[in-house]
Amino acid sequence: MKAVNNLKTVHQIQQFYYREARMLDERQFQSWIDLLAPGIEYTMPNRSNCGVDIKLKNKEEILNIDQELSTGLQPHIRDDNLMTLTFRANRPTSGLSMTDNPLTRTRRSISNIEIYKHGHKTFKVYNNVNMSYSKYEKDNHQYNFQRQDVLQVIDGGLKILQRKIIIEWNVITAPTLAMIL
Amino acid sequence: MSYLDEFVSADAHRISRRVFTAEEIYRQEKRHIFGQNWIYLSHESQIPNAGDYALAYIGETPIIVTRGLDNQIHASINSCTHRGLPVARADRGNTKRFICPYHGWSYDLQGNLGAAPQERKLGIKLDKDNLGLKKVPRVETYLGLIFGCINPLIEPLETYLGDMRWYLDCMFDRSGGGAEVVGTPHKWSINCNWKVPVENQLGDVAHGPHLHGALLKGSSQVDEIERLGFNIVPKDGHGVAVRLMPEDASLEDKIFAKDGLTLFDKETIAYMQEQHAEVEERLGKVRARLKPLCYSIYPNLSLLWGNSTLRVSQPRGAGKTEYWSWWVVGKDIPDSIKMKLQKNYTFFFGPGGILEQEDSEAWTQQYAGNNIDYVDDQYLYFGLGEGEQHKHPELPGMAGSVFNEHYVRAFYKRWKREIEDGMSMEKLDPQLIALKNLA
Repeated sequence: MKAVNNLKTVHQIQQFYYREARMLDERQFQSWIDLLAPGIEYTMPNRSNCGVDIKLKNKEEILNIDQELSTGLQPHIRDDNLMTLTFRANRPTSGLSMTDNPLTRTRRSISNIEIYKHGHKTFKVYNNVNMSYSKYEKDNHQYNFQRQDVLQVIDGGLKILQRKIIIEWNVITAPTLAMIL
Repeated sequence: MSYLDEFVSADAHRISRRVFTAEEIYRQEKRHIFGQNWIYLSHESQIPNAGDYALAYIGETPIIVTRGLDNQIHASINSCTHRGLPVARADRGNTKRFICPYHGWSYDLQGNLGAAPQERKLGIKLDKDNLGLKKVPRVETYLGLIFGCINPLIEPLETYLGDMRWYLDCMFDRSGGGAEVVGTPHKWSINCNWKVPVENQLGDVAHGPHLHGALLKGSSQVDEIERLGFNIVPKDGHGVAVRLMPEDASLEDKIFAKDGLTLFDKETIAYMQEQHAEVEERLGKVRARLKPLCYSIYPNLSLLWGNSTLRVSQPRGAGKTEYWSWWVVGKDIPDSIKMKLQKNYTFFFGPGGILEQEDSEAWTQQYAGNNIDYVDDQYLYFGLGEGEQHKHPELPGMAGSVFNEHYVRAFYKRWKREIEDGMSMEKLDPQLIALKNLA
């Protein structure tokens, strides 16, 4: 993969992520849908408590992350497209969502942004998210995950074409992974 | 007067909040409920080959389920007899032996001690016959579902399930290939009592349009279950909610997958329609128009039929549950349709599920609402629909409307009886009394 060194592009992509984070923290979920490419593939693999394959000893591959992640027919934790993400985005505004009433409070910090050329008008972007989550009076939780994104330039603007979210949990100790992450 | 009358009234209309919050009650449950009943461990499709293993729990006790070199299923307690460490530590795998990381004691797939490295250094012979992993004394299967029981005298699994088998077949015997459970479980922690998720899937249809109002209020599926649904108790402690479609319903209205995200999916609907003649041949005319919704099998296994998910409510204290949830699907179904059916699981249920997030939060709130003072004289009300249940001409078990809470009353009557019986037995047992005095 070839890194993107054009500082203007790097700046635009960083600003895209900061804006997205603020949008989600300010609960502009329906506006967030406008950041998605029509063919969006949004996944979060399940991360198993995985033993090592002794046949790979003395190779770095023995520690490879991919072997821990759900693949093929194994169910991911999240496997969304534009339609299902739209359901998720519209739900909090329905007034009937008990998980959004009282309101959930979040704060996202985005870091470790790495940008690579991908294909025609697309970039592969790695980034880490640290999110504090607070509900009711003192249900406070810390979320930490990586996003492996593909951004596409559509009509001069950046859109998310792929998002793969990598978590560290095996037993998830946060209240839910159903929100937009 | 029995031990638990102040916790569960004789008719189980009134249940104390302490049943869901008291550590002392939880200690009794570990002995008399989890130690005495068939507990779901795994599915045969999770360990298809000799040497395969998967981790499970009976209550809080870790279990290794293996497929031995003899191709038989074995279950042992996952704790080394030397210093007690777990000897199998990954969710799943394939191996010839389990080696304790501390001093290298190794056990075969049946739990027998193979070697202890210190034996040779000391020039001694260990009594290996008595140093194997503790075996789960009873292991039996039904349609690939593997259960284990700590009590060697328990009734056979098929008797234990009783008429629940008739309903389980609708998922696990629907086609010649049966069903398979794919991947490692989704697991998450919920601050609630373990019985609360079980109760929900014994037949709590009534919460749907309220707790899940954002998605389900006014939906055609809620309307269908309210019009055509029954809460069934096939045997006390087990429960299932079903829709029995009218005989003159269209083929499309009777098939599997006419639910959720595949409701209008042409490829899936066409495939299921084609398959329905085989379903009718295998399950008969009544079950060919039966569309279950949710099941619970006493004490802690549940299944959502339309959403293809099997789940175990693992207790971790009076106020803590670890929920393990798997995707289960007909083995013969083509992969392209399996992937579409899978979204009926992951979109709605599991740790990222749009409905499950509401359930998990409600169950957490239920614990918070019950773990309080000054209300011990005010019981929770479980009396809805009393006396309205009846025998049904086509459905085995007792049938009530989907708002009848008889399923949960039957569960708590059995639960109460088992704890009382267990406590009485211990009281009468001089050996146990001696042990207690020692402690």
